[in-house]
Amino acid sequence: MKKAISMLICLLLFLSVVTIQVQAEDATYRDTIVFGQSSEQNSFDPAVNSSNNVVLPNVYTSLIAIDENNQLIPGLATEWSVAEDQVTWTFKLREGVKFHSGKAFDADDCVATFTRLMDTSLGLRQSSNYVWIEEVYAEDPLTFVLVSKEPYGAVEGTMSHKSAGIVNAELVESAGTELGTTPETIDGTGPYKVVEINPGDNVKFEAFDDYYGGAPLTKYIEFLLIPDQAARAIAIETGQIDIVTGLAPDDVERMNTDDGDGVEIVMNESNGIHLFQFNVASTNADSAMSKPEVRQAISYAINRDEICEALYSPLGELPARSLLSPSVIGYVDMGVIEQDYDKAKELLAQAGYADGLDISIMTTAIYNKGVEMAEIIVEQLKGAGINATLEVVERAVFIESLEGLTPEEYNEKYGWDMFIMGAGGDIDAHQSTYRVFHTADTGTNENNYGFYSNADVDKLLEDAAANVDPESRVEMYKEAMQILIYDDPIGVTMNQRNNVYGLSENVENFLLNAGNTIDWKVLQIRED
Amino acid sequence: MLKYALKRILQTIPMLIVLSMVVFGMVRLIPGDPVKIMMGIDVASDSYEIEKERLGLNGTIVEQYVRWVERLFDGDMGTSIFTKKPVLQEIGNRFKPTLILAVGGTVLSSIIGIMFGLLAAIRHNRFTDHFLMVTSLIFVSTPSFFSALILILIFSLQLRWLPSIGLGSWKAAILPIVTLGLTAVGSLTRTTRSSMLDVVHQDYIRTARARGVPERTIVFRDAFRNALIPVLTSIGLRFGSLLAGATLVETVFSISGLGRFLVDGVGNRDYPVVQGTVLVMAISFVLVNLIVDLLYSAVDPRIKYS
Repeated sequence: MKKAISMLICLLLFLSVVTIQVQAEDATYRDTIVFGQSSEQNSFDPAVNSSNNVVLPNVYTSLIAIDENNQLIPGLATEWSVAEDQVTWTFKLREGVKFHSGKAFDADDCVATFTRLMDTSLGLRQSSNYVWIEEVYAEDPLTFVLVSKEPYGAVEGTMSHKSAGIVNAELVESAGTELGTTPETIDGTGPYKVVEINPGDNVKFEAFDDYYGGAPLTKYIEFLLIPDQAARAIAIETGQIDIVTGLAPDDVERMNTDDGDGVEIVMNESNGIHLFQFNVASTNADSAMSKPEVRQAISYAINRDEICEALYSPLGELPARSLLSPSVIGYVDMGVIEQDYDKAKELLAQAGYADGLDISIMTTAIYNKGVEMAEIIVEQLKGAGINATLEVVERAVFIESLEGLTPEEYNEKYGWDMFIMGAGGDIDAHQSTYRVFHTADTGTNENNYGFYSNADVDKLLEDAAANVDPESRVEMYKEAMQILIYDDPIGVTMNQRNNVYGLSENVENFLLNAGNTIDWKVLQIRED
Repeated sequence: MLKYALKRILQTIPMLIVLSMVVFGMVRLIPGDPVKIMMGIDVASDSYEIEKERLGLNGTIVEQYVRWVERLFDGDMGTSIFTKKPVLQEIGNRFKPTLILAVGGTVLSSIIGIMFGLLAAIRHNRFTDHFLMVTSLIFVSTPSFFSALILILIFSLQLRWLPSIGLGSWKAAILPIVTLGLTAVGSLTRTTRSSMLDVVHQDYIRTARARGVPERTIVFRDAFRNALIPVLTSIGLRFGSLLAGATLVETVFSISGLGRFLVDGVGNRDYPVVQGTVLVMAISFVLVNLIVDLLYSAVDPRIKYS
């Protein structure tokens, strides 16, 4: 009897294993994944695209890639090194890589790609990121050499950027400025190829089976443009799309708590922060903004935790801990400035504004909750005796106010003391700091938006840019951040932004890096 | 009649010239730089200058206008600053969804509106009349984006019967067409009703009644045909404005039509797109109205064109 029972148990166990296996085999996958997007890619040419990192890294591959943990890993180059002269970089290229068109990839494609980017007469949007290159050449078909004008600390970061995606040398020749405008003029080495572009509607991608990293798991990916925020939320809840971005905080909160709706929320820290930058050249109130104490006082009068809690808690966003995002090479945690009205008042008194101060703030709704954030700031500043007036502008005006104006023109035309801005940007600290924080040679605001100038910061940023030793570079950026945030503030850091995605619960292998690139080649979606 | 049509078409030419000038000047008056918007605020100044020249945005506004008109005669409406594609081709891609919505919305609203209007006129001052008038008031005063969201909530989110985005299948076309149809039903019902009431009080209707003509014949053969003229005008105007794009409905349902194209064009300060789209919309509006005018004589032989 005992034996019979144990045999029965064995049989049951065996059967259960079999059924589990059968179930696993049963899981079938759909051949198409549909993304819902709020805006379109402005170009499929890596040298022109300035939209985001969502699409291009899956169509083109760069010499260096970034994985989902934000580590630099081999891309089209298997290994690379810098010579003792600190300017000659040698990249060993991967063998047997093919373009979507079937052409074999070699060093000539790298030469064509970077020669094109270096040519400033073409007017390509991304050219300004490549002005440090002296020359590029192919040593042999699988060895690419890049020589910088001076030692340059951000070579690896730049080589991993989406703008450094390698394009087909033959296409560069034949397509000219048409490159990237139609599926025929888009030829990369990435896991997906573009097969259809319908502006204002959708873009269709098909798996590239000869991708060097193996054939992608899902055959088709479709990007659907859904400009309306509420429509995107409904589309994911009704299963018309599988992955969505740009959800409203309220929708995120509801989808996160409401079980059984079939939608999961995934978020990670993005490469961006919000800040309110000072117009250091403002002539309002006896040029109050030129005094570091006044700027410090404003920074101490703001309660960042309260603002993040009120506006961004559904998105999981917290106060930024630097002007850089944690994923950026060169990031150091600089802490968060806590609200301290006494200190703020003391600093204002020191600067000669014991009786209070009037300032003006500009904001725009193109930043998520940018208007609400400014409204809370206006209220918080009152506690330190600062009376702020708010001006809300639309996107075109915001952009026009940053079009290379001199301080006189800016103060005459706009006269704002503080304005909303984004920061924290790219993969390497150099790109995210030098252009926007270094004193502008031109004296105008197309890059250094608030006319900020600090000789120590300039020196640190210059030295760090020319430093190829990662450790001492980080120290330099730390020192620069100390000045930029605490000692001679360039602005008030606000929230560290998150990438927030809504996923159908059937989506598998959703890998997202901080640069907001999803690894499409492993992405899958189960049949219902 | 052909002569009349030709005259009408010729008459629109000066109107189109003035319109093109106004639009050309107006888009350039709004603050904002299309090149910066497209390339991003952090674009290097040499890249910016080269792109600006490539897009033909250099020179005075008069030079730019002359250049644009010259190309127009070659059938070239310019290239979109944002998508880098010919504007005419972009408009062509977006015309079909707009046409589907316009035709669908007009047909639906005409059928329901005329039916309601007739019913209300026949049952003048009775319950049906009052009920239909209140209903049509509700339809007229509900903004289309609101009714769109209500329809989506019911039929997409709750019942899961119909899709809420795109125009890929006939099923997807139902909700946007119903939305557009409903908003027009109200005004059509009211026009039909008042026009019918007007006609019903005419002498020849009384005469027909006195001769013992059946009521049904009076309503449909004698009264309705003559009451149709204002209704036709109303339908034509409605169709014309729908051809100019139902921007809100297109946005809520993520349909890539002409209305959204124009609004996006204004947002991006995409001058060639705004100019081209407004021109095409104006031309189609004029044509639709011409067709409606010509239809008058078919409906009412008393109208003659000279």
